[in-house]
Amino acid sequence: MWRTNVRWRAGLIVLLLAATLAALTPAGPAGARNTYTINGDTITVTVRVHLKTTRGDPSRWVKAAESVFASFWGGDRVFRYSCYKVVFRLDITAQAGDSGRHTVNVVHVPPGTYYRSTVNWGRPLSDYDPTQHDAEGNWWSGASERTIAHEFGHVLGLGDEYTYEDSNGNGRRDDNERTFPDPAKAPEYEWRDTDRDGKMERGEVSLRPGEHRSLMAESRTGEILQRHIDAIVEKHVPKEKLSCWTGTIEWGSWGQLQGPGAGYRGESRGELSVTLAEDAKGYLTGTAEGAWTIEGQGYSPGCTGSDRSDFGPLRFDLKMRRSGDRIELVSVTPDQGNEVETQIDLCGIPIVFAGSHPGWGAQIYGPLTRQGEVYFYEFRQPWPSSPGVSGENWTIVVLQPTGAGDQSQLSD
Amino acid sequence: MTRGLLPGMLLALLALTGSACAGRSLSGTPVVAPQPGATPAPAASPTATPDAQVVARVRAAVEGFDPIEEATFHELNMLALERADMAATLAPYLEEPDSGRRFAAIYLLALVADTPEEIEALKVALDDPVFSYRVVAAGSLAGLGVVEALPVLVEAVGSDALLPYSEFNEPVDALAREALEAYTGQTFATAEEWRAWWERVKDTVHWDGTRYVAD
Repeated sequence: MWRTNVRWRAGLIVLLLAATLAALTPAGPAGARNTYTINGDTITVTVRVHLKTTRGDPSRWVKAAESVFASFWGGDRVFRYSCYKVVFRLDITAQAGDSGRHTVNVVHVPPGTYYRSTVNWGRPLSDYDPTQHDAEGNWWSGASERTIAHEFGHVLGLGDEYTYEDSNGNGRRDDNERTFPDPAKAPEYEWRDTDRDGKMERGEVSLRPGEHRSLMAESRTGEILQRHIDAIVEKHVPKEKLSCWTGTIEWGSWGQLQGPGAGYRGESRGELSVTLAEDAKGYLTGTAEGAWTIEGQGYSPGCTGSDRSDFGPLRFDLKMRRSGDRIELVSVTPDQGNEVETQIDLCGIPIVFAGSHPGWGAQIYGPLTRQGEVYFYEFRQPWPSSPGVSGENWTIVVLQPTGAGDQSQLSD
Repeated sequence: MTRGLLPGMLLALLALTGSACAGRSLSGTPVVAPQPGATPAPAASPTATPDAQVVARVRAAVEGFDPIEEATFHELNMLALERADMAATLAPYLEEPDSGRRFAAIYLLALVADTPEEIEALKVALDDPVFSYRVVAAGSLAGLGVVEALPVLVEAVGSDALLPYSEFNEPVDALAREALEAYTGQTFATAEEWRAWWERVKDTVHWDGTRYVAD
């Protein structure tokens, strides 16, 4: 009985330890290659690489790889995926024995020796999961920074987006046949069959107006595009781990005052569009953006005045927390750039709209509760009754989950 | 958060009732450039006779080479890391009518060549019917003291031919200049200057163990 009890306790401790470790470990399988974390509204994708060199001290190549990665993928760059921010980190080491990393061989060849850098997934790209499968790269030590950025794109799960000019129509690429962006893989480009021969030729493919060149189609001039980020996130993060929320916050107030020989009526109306990203702990983090209007009319002996001011765009950082069928406000932080002057002028009299967050007079005093597909909160409060004074403050908040990946157009 | 309009409006009421109206109303820069003049350093470790498995892989890689499939290029790169003596295995492919197989053999041999047998095998490619293949062979052989490689490289300077099957249409010109500058110590701006230099030195130039010198 005693032994059983000790075993049970030991088992419980092991379980607790395991649960604690699981909570601290980044998402992804044990020995995972790339990893991801979701913290607040930020997805962090970490590329884990074991770098080897065919000659010399690998540490300088570790630094070089870090530098290139920072310039193109990492550093301070923040990408977007749906309602989430996306940042990339490179965890690269030359130390052997660390399993669960992609392998990159930096290959030194003598001057004048032709070397074409490659990445191999060991399987079709469609089956490649950067969090579970090994990618193996052989990168020429003299490769340009842009080529290395392109190869990192492969490690992250992006394919090449070019085709070749089959000038002799033999159905294979010959030595002197050039590559060019493939509109079927890179929709930023379009093909116009100017000679009407039904065959896509290099000179017939051009960038669509307003579009940007793709790093995976043209390494010398291309850029990392939004659809690259979308594809990478979808390769790394299971869709069920992501949830975006959209909604609105509407608020306003009206008031009417009537005094001897003078009267005043004022209204304020505001509407914010809300976009929030949910993390694993149920925190909804994002922004509320919109506009606010105040207007009023007043009269007094010898004067009739009216004034109106429109403010916007206003932006607020918003944090909420979901717990079951309730969502509670955690914090709201006005953007420094809001710069709202909360007053209008009537007959030379400044009318001040007081508030700690200029432009947002919304009151969210309680939780949003689930009502069918949406989470809803409504507040209405008449002004205290007093002679000649009437008015009301009101706030309506509506939020609903939209999934993720369905609204990339929200991205910058 | 504000509590709304009420406080301001009460102030307004007081003001309205207590005053008169005033009426105002958003590289190509290399990571680390190859060092011109650097000593050719083909062999990181002594080449070894390949085992049967490597030989089988080499044959499969060459025979299955498809330039549009990066994985087949990758396999050639992986085989190059084996540092095994591949002359006997690759030499027959240099006579192949299939240009893809020929290229795969030249590419791999150019990467691994460091034995007399491999060098002799690769020299056959200096007469390949495809100019850019000849340049690939010459670029490697130039660093191994093969004088016959130089005129091929000189011819490539200024050429708009492409390195075979390059990913983004890299010209042979850059590779040829890199090799010539590294192994001759000469630097010329134009193709004509390189050709004039070759005409001056072609009868006397020789490899001194580290670079080409003319008497």
